[in-house]
This record gives sequence, C-alpha cells and structure tokens, in this order.
Amino acid sequence: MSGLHVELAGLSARHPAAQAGARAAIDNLSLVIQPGEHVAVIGPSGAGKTTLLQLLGAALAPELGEVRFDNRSVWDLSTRALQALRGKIFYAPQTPPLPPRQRVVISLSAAKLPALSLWQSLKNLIHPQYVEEVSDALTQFDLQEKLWDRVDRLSGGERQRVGLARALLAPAGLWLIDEPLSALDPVRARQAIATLLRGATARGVTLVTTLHQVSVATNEFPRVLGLRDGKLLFDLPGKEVTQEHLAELYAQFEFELASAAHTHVLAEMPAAKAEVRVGCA
Amino acid sequence: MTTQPLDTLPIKPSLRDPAWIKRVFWTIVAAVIMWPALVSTEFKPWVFFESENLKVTGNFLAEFFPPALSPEFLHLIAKEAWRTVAIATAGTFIALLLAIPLTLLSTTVLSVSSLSGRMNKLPFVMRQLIRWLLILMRSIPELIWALVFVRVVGLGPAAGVLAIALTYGGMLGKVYGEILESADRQVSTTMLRNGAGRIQTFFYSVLPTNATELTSYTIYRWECAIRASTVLGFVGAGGLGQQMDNSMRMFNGSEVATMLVVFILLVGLADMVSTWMRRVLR
Repeated sequence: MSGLHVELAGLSARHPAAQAGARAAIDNLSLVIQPGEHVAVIGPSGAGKTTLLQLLGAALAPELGEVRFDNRSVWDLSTRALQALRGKIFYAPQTPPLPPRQRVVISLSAAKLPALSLWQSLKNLIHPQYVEEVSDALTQFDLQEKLWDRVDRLSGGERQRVGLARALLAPAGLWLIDEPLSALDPVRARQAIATLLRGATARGVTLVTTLHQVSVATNEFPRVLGLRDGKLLFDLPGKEVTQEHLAELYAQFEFELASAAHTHVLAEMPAAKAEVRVGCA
Repeated sequence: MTTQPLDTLPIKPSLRDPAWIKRVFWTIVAAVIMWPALVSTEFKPWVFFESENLKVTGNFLAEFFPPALSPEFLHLIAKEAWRTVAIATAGTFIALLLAIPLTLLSTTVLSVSSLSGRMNKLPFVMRQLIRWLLILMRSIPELIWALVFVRVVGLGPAAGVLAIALTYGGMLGKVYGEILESADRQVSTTMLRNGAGRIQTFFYSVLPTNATELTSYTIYRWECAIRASTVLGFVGAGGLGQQMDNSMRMFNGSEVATMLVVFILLVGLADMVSTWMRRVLR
C-alpha cells in the first residue's frame, strides 16, 4: 500500500457538537500533502487539530470546501465507496479505542479488518490467525509479553502503545494519529514516535499526527504545521520553526509550550525515566 | 385593647407545616382514583371470611397435607418439571435467534451512513419498521400467543416454545437495542471510520464491549421463561402447569402441594444458576 495524496481546498468545518453561530473549528484552510510525507500538526488547545485530523480521515463532513484523496473528491462518493475508501485510512483517536474485555491479540488484529473477508475475520475470533504479525508489531513497541493479556489488564501507557501498534497492521495508505504520546513517559514517547516514523517510511504511507510536544515535532518531522484558531499560521520544515514562530503560535497559551519544553528536557535525560507522566489535555 | 387567650391565637405562618395541605390533597386524590378501580374489580375481601367459603378453602388447603409422594407421581412430576425447563430453554434460545438479527438491523450503532451526519432515508425507514415489529411481538402476552399456537400446532410443548420464542424475542430485541445504544460508542465508531464492515464491527467491538450486560439480561429472561412456561401449561402447552391444572380441577390438594414445592425449587434453582453464571462472566 503506497501513500495517499491528500488535498484540502478552502475547507471550513465545525465541531459536530458545536452550537450554531460558534466559531468554525477549521476556517478556510487549504493544504496539499504528498504521498509518503510525514507531517506534524502543533498548536494550542482548541486550535482545531483534532477536527483537522477528522476531516483528513473522512470522518467529518466539511461545511465548505473539498477533501480530495488521489484527486477524487471524498464527499461525492456513495456511502459504500466512501466506506471502502475509509479502509485505506488508519485513524487513531487520542483515547485508544480498545474494548476492555478483549485480548490484545484480537484488538491488534482488528486493525486488519478492512482487508479481511467476513469469514476470515470470524475465523480469527475463534482461533487467532495473525499471531506472528501481531507479535512483531507489539515487539516494536516493546509489548511482546502482553500478546495474550486482556486489554483491561494494561496500564494507560500500554493501552496507548497497543493503539499505535495497530497502525503497523492496518492496510492503510494514510495514518492519522491524534496525540500519540499523551500517556507516555518521555523515553517511551521517543521510542513510539521513532517506531511510527520508521513504520511509515518502510510502508511508504502518508503520516499526519497532532503533537503536544513541540520539540518532538520540530526535531523529528520534515514538515510541521502550526495551527491556531482553525487557520494555518505556518507550514515549515521542522528545522526552520523558530522560537518566534512558536511564541506567536502559543501566544496566551505559553503554559502549554512551557510544559511541552519541559518534556523535551526530560527526554534528553533517560535517568528521569518512567517517573514522569506527560500530562496532556 | 382586647387580648385573646393563648390557645386560640392563630399559629405563626412560619411554623405551619407547608407540606400539610398538599399531603391531604393527594390522599383525597388517591382515594377518589382508587374507588372506581376497586368497584370495577369487585374487590370484596370479606367474601373470604363468609362461613361457606371458609369451609371450601379450608377443605382444599387441608388436602395439601400430606403432599402426594408416591413414586409414580414423583416420577411423572420430575418428567413434567424437566419438560417445563426444556420449554423455557428452547423458547429462550429461539427468541435469541430471532432477536440477534433484528437488533443488528435496528440499532443505530452500526449505521455507516450516520457516521457522516444524518442517516440515509432507506435504512432509517427499515430501522423504524423493525422497531414496530419488535413492539408487536412483545406487546401480545405469551399466554395469548400460546392460545393461538395451541390451535395451530395442537396441545403440547411446541405451542409453549413458540409462544415464549415470539414474546421473548421481542423483549430481547428491544433491550439488546437499548443496551447497545446506551453503551460508549467510541470503540465501534472508530472501527467503522477505519473502514471495517458492519458485521465485523459488531463482532470486534460492539459485542466485546457489551457482552456481560447482554448475557446477564438473557439469563434473567431465561429465568422468567421458566415461570412463564409453567403458566402456559394451564392453557395446554404442556409441562408442570398442565399437570397442576389437571390436579386443581380434581381438587386433589396433595398433588397440587407437591407441584407447588417442586415449582418453588425450580425457580430457586434457576435463580442460583443465573447468579452463578453472571459471576463467572465478570
């Protein structure tokens, strides 16, 4: 599966639960993402990061403008064709969507569902069919011994990593990942982001992730989008994002920037491991 | 200047119980509503105590002791009790088979079109139709269904099984639907949004999320079905109820007593089994 070409043209959208007359969560935004690109979206709380991901994932219909995948307009498709297209997108919400009483092996193989026939997927429930693949994906997130455990026996951080490991199994050309590091300690966070980037490169998939940790975005990502009040403030290679850019992006939200910078400092001191949970909204 | 004696002084308004008038009012309302209900149901408790009735009741109850304990009778009762359990179990099982597809078709949790705003028209109409079908199935009591089926398939357990299957299918379908609708949808919505099919989503996210609640309710219904299948025996649908009906017609108090004891044991046993199963499922 090669990466998807994604284009947003003059897009405006409201949060589904927003009241009438509320400010649009995404406001007249245009953007092109090339196949195989790795993009990080940063910005203060309420900037519209999650809404942007949902628009990219064909999960939310825009009020104005168009979403195009490989030059096909998404919202002109029939329900059936749209659902087939969604099979090529892997969307990971911030809270990992794992049923508590399910075993990790089944939860992970669920990522393969769009590529499986109904018969194959039922067979997998009765007797797990993709154990090797699942075990490989878990190993990359350092969770190999959790293969047969139930999801409700895992810690919050382990659950989040299981949610991320799903990406490695999904038959997708576009990974959309919302705050992948929110429940991880700095060491785990670096490991997780490195694994995601490596996996995306190996598969050639397009990766878009929102991040609270500004330093991770600017250090690791070739392209960083600064989103504020539903508008793009900057669209730069990670290395070219300056302190001035960040100051403008996080004006009046300096606290979020400060706490994220704090995380970065800790990330460079492996001794501080596991003790610190990165608190994130 | 006139002085009033202390006890005729009006009570200070702040010390008056503000709820008093309301309480009197609602008591009167309750009495007014109850009266016609009592009249139309011919509620006359004193007829119990008229000497003639007391004698009939007394004789019938006196015959309860000693309960019938002859081996042949006990053997017959054991067979009929087993048949009652079998009717309940088979009926609940068929109800389950009816309820599962109807729930899958009627629940909005698995709607793909409503992921992106409003549900399409055709699926919406179909969901409404199935809801009405479920209402039809459960609004007719199992006793009435049994009377109908006794005419169709003849006297015997088959009528009881069908009656329970239809009524309980309607109940299970409705409650399953409610359990699914009220549960957290994040897991299933995300799975649909990632392109999984409706049935895949059911087995991989809706079922594991709700399995305990669904099974627990199904077991509770099975327990109810055991009680119901006894009653169905009275209209000829076989089992313990039919035997009890026969013995009552014969005024054979000792047989009735044995069967009542067996019945109480049966319901108690069903209760124990379902408690145990629910604990295992945690």
